[in-house]
Amino acid sequence: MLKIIPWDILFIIINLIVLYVILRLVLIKPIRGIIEQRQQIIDSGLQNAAESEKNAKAIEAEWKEKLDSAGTQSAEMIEKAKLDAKAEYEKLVSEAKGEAERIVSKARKNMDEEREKVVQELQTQAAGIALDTARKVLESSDLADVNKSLYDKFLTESGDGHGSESN
Amino acid sequence: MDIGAEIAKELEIETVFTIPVFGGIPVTETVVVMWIIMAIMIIGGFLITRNFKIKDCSKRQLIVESAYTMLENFFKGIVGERGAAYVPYLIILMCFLIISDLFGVFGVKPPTKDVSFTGVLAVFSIVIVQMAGIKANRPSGWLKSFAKPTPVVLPINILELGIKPLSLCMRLFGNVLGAFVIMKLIECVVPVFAPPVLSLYFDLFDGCIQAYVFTFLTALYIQEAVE
Repeated sequence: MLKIIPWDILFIIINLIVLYVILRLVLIKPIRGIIEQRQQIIDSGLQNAAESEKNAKAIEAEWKEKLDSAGTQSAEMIEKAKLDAKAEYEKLVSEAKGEAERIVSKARKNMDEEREKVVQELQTQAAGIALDTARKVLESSDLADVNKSLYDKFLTESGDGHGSESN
Repeated sequence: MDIGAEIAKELEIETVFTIPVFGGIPVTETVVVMWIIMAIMIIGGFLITRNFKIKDCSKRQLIVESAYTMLENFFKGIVGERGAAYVPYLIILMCFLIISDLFGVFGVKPPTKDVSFTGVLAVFSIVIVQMAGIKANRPSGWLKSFAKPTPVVLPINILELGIKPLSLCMRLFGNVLGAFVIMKLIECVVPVFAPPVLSLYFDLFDGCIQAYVFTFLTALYIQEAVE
């Protein structure tokens, strides 16, 4: 019953070793391999997710900062534009004022000159007309003395420049 | 009829055939049954791990994976992280013992009923345990472990080297033998109905329990050794 056969033992030892080696290759290795591969995929997926989250947060922070700086920048720009516009406005206004004054003064000067010229022309014309009139009167009239005095009077009056109405 | 003589005859390990070299190598029943079990396990193992995928697994793959993970976690829980390298050995050993014990149900003499087989298994276990101890604690640490917790227990620890495998061997052999003897007795007393029902207990249940106990104890020894 408890007989021990040496060949039996040898066979059993060989059998067990062969069984262990083959089963490790055939059964354990594929199962472990698949579980490890899956674990790797899960791990890398989790890692990727963590990295993406980190990146997203960094981008969000960056955008926030940019947005803030854009707000202050735009305010600055508006301020600057206002100042620029005011300066420009003042410059334009002062220029326009200067121009207007220049034009006005020029116009005034022109007007003065024109008036003087007109006055002089009128005086000259009046003198001519008076002379003509006087000569005609003198040539045709017998009242030479009376006319002569009238003529003198007219001459003095128009020479003073007050005779524009009577013409 | 003489029950004793019949049981004794049944317990005899018969030589199935002889390989005609070196003056004839006897091949016993145990070895032949082992070959059958090995063939079943290897072909079965090859078949159940075919077409394994990472995604969209089949039900078969899920069952195999969860069973493997369960066994792995169970044995890892016993041997600890430092003994994790020995988990595949324990899993294969357990599967082999369960299948070989189940063979008794089909009326085949299970290899576990041969004391040579259980003896070899026990020696394997103790060799692996000692190797684990040497690997984990270096030879010096392994030698010192015999004098722990106090040097007084040194002889007992040395005796354990022989006692542990002997107890493993005899427990498995004795249980299977006992179950077998009881089954034979029952068959003689009540030949109808009782044998198949009780066979479920003595062959199936007891076989699984013994396979579990054997691997569990081996795992415990490994854990003790690598500690």
